[in-house]
Amino acid sequence: MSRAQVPARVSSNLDGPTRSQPMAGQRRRLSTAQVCFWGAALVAVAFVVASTNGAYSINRSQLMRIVWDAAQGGGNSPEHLVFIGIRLPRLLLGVVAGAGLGFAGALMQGLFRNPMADPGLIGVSSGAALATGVTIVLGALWFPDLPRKLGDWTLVVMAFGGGLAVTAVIYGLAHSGTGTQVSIMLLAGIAINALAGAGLGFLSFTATDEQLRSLQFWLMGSLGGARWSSVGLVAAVVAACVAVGMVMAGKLNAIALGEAQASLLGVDVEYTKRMCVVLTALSVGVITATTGIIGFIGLIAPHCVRMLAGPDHRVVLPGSALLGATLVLTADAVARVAAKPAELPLGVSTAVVGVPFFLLLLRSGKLKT
Amino acid sequence: MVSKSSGKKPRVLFILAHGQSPSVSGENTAASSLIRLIGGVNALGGSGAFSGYRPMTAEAMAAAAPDIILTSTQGVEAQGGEDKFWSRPEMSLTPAFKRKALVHMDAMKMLGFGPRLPKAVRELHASLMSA
Repeated sequence: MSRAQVPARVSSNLDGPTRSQPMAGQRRRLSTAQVCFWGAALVAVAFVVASTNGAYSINRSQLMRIVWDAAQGGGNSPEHLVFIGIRLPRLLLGVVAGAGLGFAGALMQGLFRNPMADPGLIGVSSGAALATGVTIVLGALWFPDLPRKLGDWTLVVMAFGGGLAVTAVIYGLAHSGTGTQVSIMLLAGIAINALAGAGLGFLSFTATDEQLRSLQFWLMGSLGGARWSSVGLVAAVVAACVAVGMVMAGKLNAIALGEAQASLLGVDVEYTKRMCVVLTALSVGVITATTGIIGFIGLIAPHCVRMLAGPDHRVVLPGSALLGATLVLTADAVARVAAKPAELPLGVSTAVVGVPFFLLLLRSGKLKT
Repeated sequence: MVSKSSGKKPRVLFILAHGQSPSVSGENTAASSLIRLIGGVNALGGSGAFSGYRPMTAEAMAAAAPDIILTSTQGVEAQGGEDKFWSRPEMSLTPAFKRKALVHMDAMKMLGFGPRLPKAVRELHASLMSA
């Protein structure tokens, strides 16, 4: 079933929301290998550029020296400590977080067959935000001992739990004896997100200035919390989700035809839906818990890849991961440098970097039908 | 001991909120005035300084090289105590880390600039000198 052919036009479904994007079958598309090669090249370029930019000035020759020292297991110059202890984990967190968000966005758009779908739709981000709000504003009141036990991990654990809980609620609302209805999941997701937003609004209303600041900046996302431990955790989860998710590519191609058709092709639609939701919840949950909300990447990365390479999920899934990594790395470099020594919120720079790129691609004629 | 031995005022970094990137005080803030009152200099003052509180990158914090970190007791508690506070990587690259020079006080007492201000300044000055 993974060989299910993708028709030139999948937007002719009448049942439920469909991908509105026109799929011109005639235009030259990039192959999977090309997308992966160029995607990886983009990530590499962004990584090198980002590693020589920052508030602590490290030039290219110093960087070479640091890499050389690190390869030999030594080095304790200030540049070395700053790069290895602070900048490198941050860059790597950008790569894995961007990859996870892009990948999850492609899964969600494939599952919902809706161009507006993004990972936030199933409540991971809003649940994490609500749990973070509760921890920051009411934490000292309700569970004062928690930070002593968990330290830096307090917010991560709470946000991850909150994201999973809200996703479970939305999935539960859409689930019935006859299976999971994607259209109900979509609407329930929007409704529950609004409710979580209201909860967050109320928490902001009761917060002190200091708490409000922490919460506000968390909501706009930042890779500033990068530690080697958190990078390892996020990388492991994202890698596992990408590995399992790639198996879904063929099934999602079949689902693009419509759920009934997919099921006639022999795809276990119910299982695919559940897997997509679980993979998204886990990967985006752990990313959001570590970085705060990084919006927009999950929405645009799959679109960009589809514009260049067509709607086959075997290309869209890995391509979105690579493009997501590039976008987050670039946006974070802008966030770190644009206002140094201060740091722009990542939510601001992802929009500044991502929107022009997206609009350029939209208008570049690649989209002509 | 920096302040006593060399006669130079210690560079103080004020941390307002401990998010992923901590918010720190630039010029024109209550915290900046407080640092002057208690006999220190704002580690983020001088040329190229920004106004107000902003989140700052970890590497910029290392570059600012503060001798003493000043923050609110609530903030330290939310971090899980002083040990957990010092375990953050950006902290371990500051001169303050070597002597674990952390001074903290109740947020309102410190930044409220109310009737408790003289008491707060006296106490903070004492801890600054002994930190």
